[in-house]
Amino acid sequence: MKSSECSLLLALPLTESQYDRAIGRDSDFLRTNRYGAADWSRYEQIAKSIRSVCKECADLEVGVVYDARSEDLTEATRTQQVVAVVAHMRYDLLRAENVIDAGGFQDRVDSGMEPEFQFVRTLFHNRPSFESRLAVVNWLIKKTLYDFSVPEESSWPEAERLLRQAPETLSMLRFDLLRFESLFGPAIVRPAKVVELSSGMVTGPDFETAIHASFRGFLDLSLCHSMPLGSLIGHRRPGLKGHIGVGKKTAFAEGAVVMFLLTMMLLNQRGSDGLSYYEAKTKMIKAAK
Amino acid sequence: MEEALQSVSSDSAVKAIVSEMQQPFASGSTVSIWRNTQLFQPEAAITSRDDASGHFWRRFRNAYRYGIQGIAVSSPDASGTCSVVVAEPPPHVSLENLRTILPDATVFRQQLGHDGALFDVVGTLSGDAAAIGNALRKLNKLLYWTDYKAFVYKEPFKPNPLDARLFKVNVDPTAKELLSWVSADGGKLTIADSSESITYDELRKRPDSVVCSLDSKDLVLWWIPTGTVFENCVVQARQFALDSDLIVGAIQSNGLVLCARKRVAPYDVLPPLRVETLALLASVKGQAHLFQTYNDCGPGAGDYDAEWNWSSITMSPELLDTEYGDLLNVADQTIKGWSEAGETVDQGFENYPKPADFPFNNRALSDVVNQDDQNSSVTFNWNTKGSGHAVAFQSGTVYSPGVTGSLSVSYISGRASEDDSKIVRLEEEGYKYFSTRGDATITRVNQYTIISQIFHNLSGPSVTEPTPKITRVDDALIECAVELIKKLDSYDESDIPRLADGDPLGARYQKSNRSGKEPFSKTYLQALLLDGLNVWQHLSDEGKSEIGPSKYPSEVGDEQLNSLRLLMYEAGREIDGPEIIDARTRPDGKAWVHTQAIAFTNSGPNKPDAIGGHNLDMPLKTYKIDEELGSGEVRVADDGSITVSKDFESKIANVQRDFDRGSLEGESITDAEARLKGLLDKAETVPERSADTVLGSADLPEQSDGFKSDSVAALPTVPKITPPADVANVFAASADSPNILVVKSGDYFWIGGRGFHPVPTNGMSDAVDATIAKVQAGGSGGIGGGGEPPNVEFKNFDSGGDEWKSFMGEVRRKGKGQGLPDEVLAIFGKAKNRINLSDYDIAKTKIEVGEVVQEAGRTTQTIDFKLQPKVATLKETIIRIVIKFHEKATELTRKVLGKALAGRWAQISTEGAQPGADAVQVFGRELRRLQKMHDFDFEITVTANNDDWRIAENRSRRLGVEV
Repeated sequence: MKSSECSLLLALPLTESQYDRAIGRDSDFLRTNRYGAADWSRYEQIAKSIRSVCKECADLEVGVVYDARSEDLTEATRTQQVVAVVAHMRYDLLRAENVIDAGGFQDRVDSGMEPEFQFVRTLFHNRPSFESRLAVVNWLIKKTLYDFSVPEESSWPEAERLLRQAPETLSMLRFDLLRFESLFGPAIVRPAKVVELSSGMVTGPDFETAIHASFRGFLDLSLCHSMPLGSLIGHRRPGLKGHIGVGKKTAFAEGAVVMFLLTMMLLNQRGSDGLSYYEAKTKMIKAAK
Repeated sequence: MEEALQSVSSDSAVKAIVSEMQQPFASGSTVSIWRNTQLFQPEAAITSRDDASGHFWRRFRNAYRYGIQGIAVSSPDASGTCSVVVAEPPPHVSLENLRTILPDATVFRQQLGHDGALFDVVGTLSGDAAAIGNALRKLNKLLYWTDYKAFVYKEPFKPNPLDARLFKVNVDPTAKELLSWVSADGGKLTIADSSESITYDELRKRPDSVVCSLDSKDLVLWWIPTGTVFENCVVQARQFALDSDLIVGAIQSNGLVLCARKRVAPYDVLPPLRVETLALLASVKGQAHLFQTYNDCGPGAGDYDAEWNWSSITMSPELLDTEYGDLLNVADQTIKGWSEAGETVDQGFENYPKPADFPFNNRALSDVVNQDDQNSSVTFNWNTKGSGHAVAFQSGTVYSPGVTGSLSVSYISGRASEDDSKIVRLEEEGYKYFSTRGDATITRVNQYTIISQIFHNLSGPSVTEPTPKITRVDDALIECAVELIKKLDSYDESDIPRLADGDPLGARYQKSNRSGKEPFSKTYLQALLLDGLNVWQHLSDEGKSEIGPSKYPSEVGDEQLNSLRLLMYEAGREIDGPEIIDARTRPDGKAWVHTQAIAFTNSGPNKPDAIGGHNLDMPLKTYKIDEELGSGEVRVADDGSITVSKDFESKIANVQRDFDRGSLEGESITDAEARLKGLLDKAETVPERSADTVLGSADLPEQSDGFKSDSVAALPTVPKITPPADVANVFAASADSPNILVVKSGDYFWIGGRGFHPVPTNGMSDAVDATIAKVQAGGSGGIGGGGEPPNVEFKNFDSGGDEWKSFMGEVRRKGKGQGLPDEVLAIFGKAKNRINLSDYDIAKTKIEVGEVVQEAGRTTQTIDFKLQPKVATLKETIIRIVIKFHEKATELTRKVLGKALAGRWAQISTEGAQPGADAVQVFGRELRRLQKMHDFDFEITVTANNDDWRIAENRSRRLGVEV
């Protein structure tokens, strides 16, 4: 594999005009991120740094797409083997206004046999109100965000590792918004717009739909807490299982593009030996650690 | 078969590879009992705080002033917030760990005695009952590696160590009774946290450690197979501690069966034994002696002011900063205080509950012993003389504790002329008093000592990492001694006698040091001190050169250590010993218990110094029953082993204490035999009693798991998630497999195995984490026994797909950093994935070792083992191994590997695998070991009766992708 078979889609504002447009559409990214959203002068250095790395990627014949929209994702996944997306994703709760059918919501929570619903019910004492049910669901979504932040892998002493299992008799389930949306279905819960592309916010299913039907390559999701989105895509496209790169934690755009560039450089050196994008990126992550 | 076996012995290259396959298994345990790193900042600990949590902690510690481990929770306030105290967390838990659950956690310090401390963590939890309950379960899991029977302490707190008396803690089961209760025919044992029911014989064949209850006898048994590593059975240790309240003995037979009374006392009356203390006892099981002493021979020790005198506290270095060490200190003040009719009190223990009456008709022992010499000292010691013993029956060796209420008592009078028989009588009176007092601390000390003796004399578990040894008190004493030696150098010889400040040094020394004959001189004192220092072997070369050359007195001999302490006592007032000790023995934050180094004692008016401690000897007297021996015969061998005739079997319990306590140093074998025979001849036969009668179960209030006390609340049971029918069926079909099963169903991976409910996960990453945790938790129940973790079986995965291999690749990648052994195998199959070698005529196995073939750039070799069934209803089973050599594989490997594998399989199938293990899986695991040294991939395919399965392993690990 070579860098020329890869695309890098950036859905973050990287120029002043893109920034102004994002402000105009009330960008969730600029509203919530830590760079100091309403001030281009503070954000400019970061944007400049990302652009500089992207230029180096372009020099390696990577298909770099700025100001990426849904249709850019479709096109890239139609033509390229590897598509890396750098975008903003909001880790959201299940909002009451998105529950279209409150009765259906309660029925599913009270009688659904999926492990997630069985788990939710263990947290009830009596028959609670709709609000209480929703509060429990959201408590679990927040708990999963906490779990995402727990350090993993070799640095885990036994005690920390066990924290993730307790109570082990129950489950090690994740409870994120996209999972609940899938479980309830669109007739009960309207999917929330959680991924921000340059064309605006899209839902998880919208994002999945934008991936070209013929895509069999590797999709690298450099979005904050992208694991739920990756799981959603994997569930809806079983053929892509094992071909989606995700992260549990907050993603940082500069780090993501630098890592992508290094991966491209390694691929150009070793790609002819059969090194895949995934293997190359894993090596780079390991080296960085 | 013959040919294959022959090649192992005749071909050295084949033999070498077969030997590599059988290398010892590396333990996969990652449990650490002691981190031995800083867990918190002790100097930042506070002793009070004016808020709800601070007040709650104060109320908790006002009630539990001494050692207690556990979680206490207040009722929630109006905003749903409750205060949480995590009292004395175990030493593998740091403040940082606790803050993942209690983000606002702060460390509080409870003073213990003069300079000891117990550290607790105090924080808050908010949310609804379910959220708080879940967090408390997590806390239990963090502290104890399991949330089995998770509970919390709650208000009203009303502990009293003497409440233990209500639960008959002084019981005296004999060895014969224990064996009879446990091994009675038809007794069914129910395994903890499971509905599995087994017999005693089945228990002793299990390769894994389990805790089970013998309900018909109100006994709880902890099965510890030979070779068990403690870190692999921490969950069982906790289960045992929760399910039982009194250790009553042990049986060694194929492994160790620790026997205890089923819990009747609530947790706040007899708290569960601590897992880390049990691990400590496993760690020191090789030691013949443990000690703790409040001695008055520290530098400058003695009178402090009109009210108090002080002494240094020394103990075995493994016991410092442990619960056991702390318990010994607390028990020490009871033997002194209560033997002295409550007139002797240690600082910090003024509030320790006092019994209604004291021994010796409420007279102080020192008054009884030293009627005409008020200046004579009395030493009060707890010891093991005459308590535990073992009886070797044909079906196993049984340990009996004698009685469980307390250790033995010894009193040593400072008066040389004191009548021995009078002291012995007083000791027996004291022993009877303390063992029947029902004090929780005294009982607990004996419980741990009983376990120490069991682990030392029977086949106790081992630990991978020994307990830390802490020498800070000895180091401080050495520093005092160095100071003292320097100080002595500045004196004239004529100054020496008055250093004792009115108590002539010579007289004091002569009295206590039987071998001291040399005239006292400055040089002699310095030499003695230096000699003592060398015993401790801590003094640096620099320190020695500073002190200068000295003459070593030959008379000092074995008593030099005591002499050193004594001399420091006598002459130590010249330096400020307490300050030196205090400055060097402050808490370091590596443990949540900080044992005292200094004791202040008020012995009452006109009373001598009270010296005391624990002398805990581990070796036991073991009585072997020999049916061949003539009636009434007794044999004592040179090594001290005792054999008695069958007719004495039921009398041993009645004479053991007298015989052991009557042993004299240098007693001849003939004398010992005669003495024992005399005791046995006179003794009455102990009638065999029922467990109910001995353990008191029938008369005790029903407590049901210790929850009935209103100071204890069980956390709500967490309902289990029900798997769909197809998943449940897969688990049911593999119920007897020792492996971890990963069952795929829709978007879920269900992780389960023998003895635990399937756990659902909805992502591969979590499924991998759960699998690693379960493989490691299944340590002692693994496929190969002996602490080997189980393999991983994949069910409902696409046989041709990569998903199960990616999954296993992730298990290896993540597990490697967590100590997961490489030998864990990935097994793909639909059914049981096991073969029963006894169904086949092994001698008729056809072994076909194929040629090494080069094809399409790959070098492969196929080896077939064709097993011939004994019965016609079974078909031939083929075990096919396909080896794919890497380019790096050496010529020699390519040449002999096939033969070596054939030879090794012939060995395994002829010898049979360990109980519970599958021969093919054992073979596969050995192949994994070989992969580390040679370069090849392999795949084992088993084609059996409707039970085809395979093991596939690559030399370079596969990397999966999280989705």
